[in-house]
Amino acid sequence: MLGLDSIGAAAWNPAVMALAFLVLLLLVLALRAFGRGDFAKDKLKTQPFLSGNAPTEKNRVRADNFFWGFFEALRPYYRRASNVHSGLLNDYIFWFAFCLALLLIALYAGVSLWA
Amino acid sequence: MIELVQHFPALAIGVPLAFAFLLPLLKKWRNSAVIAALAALAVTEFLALFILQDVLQNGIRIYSMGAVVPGLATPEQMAVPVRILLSIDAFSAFMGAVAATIALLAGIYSIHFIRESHSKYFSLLLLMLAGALGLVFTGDMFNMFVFFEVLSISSIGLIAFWLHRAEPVEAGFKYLAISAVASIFVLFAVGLLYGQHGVLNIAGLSRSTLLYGFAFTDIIALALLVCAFSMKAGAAPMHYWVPDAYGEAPAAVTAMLAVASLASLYALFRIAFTVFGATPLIELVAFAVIIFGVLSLFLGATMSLVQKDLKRLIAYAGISQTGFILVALGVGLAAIHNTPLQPFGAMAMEGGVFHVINHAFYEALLFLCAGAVFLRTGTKDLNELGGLARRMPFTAFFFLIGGIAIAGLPPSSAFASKILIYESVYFFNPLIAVIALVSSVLVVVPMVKAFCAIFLGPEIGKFKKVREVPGAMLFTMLVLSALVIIFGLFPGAIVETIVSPAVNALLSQSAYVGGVL
Repeated sequence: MLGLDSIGAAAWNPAVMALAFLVLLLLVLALRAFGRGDFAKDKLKTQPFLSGNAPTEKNRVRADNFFWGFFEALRPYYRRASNVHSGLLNDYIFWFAFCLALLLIALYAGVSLWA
Repeated sequence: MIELVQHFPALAIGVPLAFAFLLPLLKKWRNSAVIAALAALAVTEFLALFILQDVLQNGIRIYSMGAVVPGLATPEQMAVPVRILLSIDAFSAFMGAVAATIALLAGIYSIHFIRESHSKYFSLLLLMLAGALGLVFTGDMFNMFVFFEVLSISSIGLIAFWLHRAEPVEAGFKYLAISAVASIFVLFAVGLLYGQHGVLNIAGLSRSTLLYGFAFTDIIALALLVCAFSMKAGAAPMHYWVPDAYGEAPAAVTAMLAVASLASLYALFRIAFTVFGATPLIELVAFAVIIFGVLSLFLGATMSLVQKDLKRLIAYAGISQTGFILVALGVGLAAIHNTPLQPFGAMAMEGGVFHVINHAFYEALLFLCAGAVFLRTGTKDLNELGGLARRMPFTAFFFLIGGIAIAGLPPSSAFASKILIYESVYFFNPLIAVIALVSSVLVVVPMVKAFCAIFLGPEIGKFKKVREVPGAMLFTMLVLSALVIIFGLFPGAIVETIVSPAVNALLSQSAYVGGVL
């Protein structure tokens, strides 16, 4: 059961994987133990650093702030993609009809070419 | 006992169906309704697992409804089956076991999650399970349509379950509209197939296309079926309903909606492989499926990044995972008549079918975690959430496991299925493998965003009294997390035991025909 397990070209041993996880966990705990035990809890230095501003409920990293640069770089793509995702039922049915028409044409053309 | 065992396929559909109609009678007794529903779900799970084990051992199993000898498909002097026929091969049994497992977990989770109208809720949930099991077990096209309808109608009721809010009603209406359109076209296609071949039985249709090839009406029927089932599976660019419906349905229902989408994928591939597998039409369909898959991969992953609603974010990430299944099984379809590519096609299909079960588990896990967050905070808005890991450490841990799995990272099960897909698809077309790989990497981003936004950061005042969710809800998340990890640690054993037989059943058109007729 705990022997070598393989899938496709990949192979691994579940026991070794579990052991590796355990070693990593111990390593993390050991590194944590090296930290200073006399730090002042609930003081500013234990809080996240936000350009020198104290993190508060209003002044915190929100979901919209994550990967901001990524979205800025891809703004043209996202503008178009958001327009397509209109939320209108008519558009939903349009895309179904569009795909159906394309598939019918492709199948008919393919069969005609074979014939 | 042997007498009863032969009726298990009918009971697997009959038990949830009967209890679905029985539960409204227990409307006044909340606890009795919940216990009865859970008992029905547990019995159905047992039946589905028994059928899977039986089919894996003894091969395809058939059941004629109402026949003196249920194992006899064709009555005396008949050329084709005329009764309602269930034909369960390893692929059907595999899908049935997945559906029953998720339904049972969804039921347990719902005990505390649903606070009103228990009998109505569980009645619809059982009806949904009966529809999903009927869809994957049925051996004829008309009953496939009937169970497709049962599944859709019960899903609509559950999506719009919280009638006091406008959004679920709107989502339910949208789902109703696209389901109605899909159903009409499926029925039209079934009529065309019957007109052309004179049978509705899947094995009969398969034998007809094997012997006589295909006609023009088959082309129309195939296109209608492929598009209708692809839309219900949430394949891009027909995926727009998915975030609406998944985003507004109760969390446990969302897990079942993912199963409903997988059942639609089952129908798509059952028809493609078993009915039309021998015709050259299938290579063209394969390219359409691969295109749907690639679009789903990319659009799902990229649109997931910009979502502010937690459940919509997971729904879009789920669309990209459907893309993996479509690409893998599409490559399997494309390789079916191409001898040099056949080993890679079979391997891609193993990856795709393995991804079906993985996708069902981690998608359900993520939605259940999202439901837990919603239950305690009353919001799904990622911008409003934060610092919940202190108050909900177990939910945070389970969400992390779900996130790791959907991103395809080890030691999750999705890592193994995605490796199979990358490796095999690369030989078919390296560009598709690269797109799949990039999409998988992209899915990490929304998961990191969601985890950090919900669970990390400073604690928010209004959530300081938030508590961890009840034990029953944590138990379902624990089971799904354990399955994700165990399947990831022993993927070879899982593939060998249940995935390969399912793939072989799908690939062997003659075995299916021979087993039924």
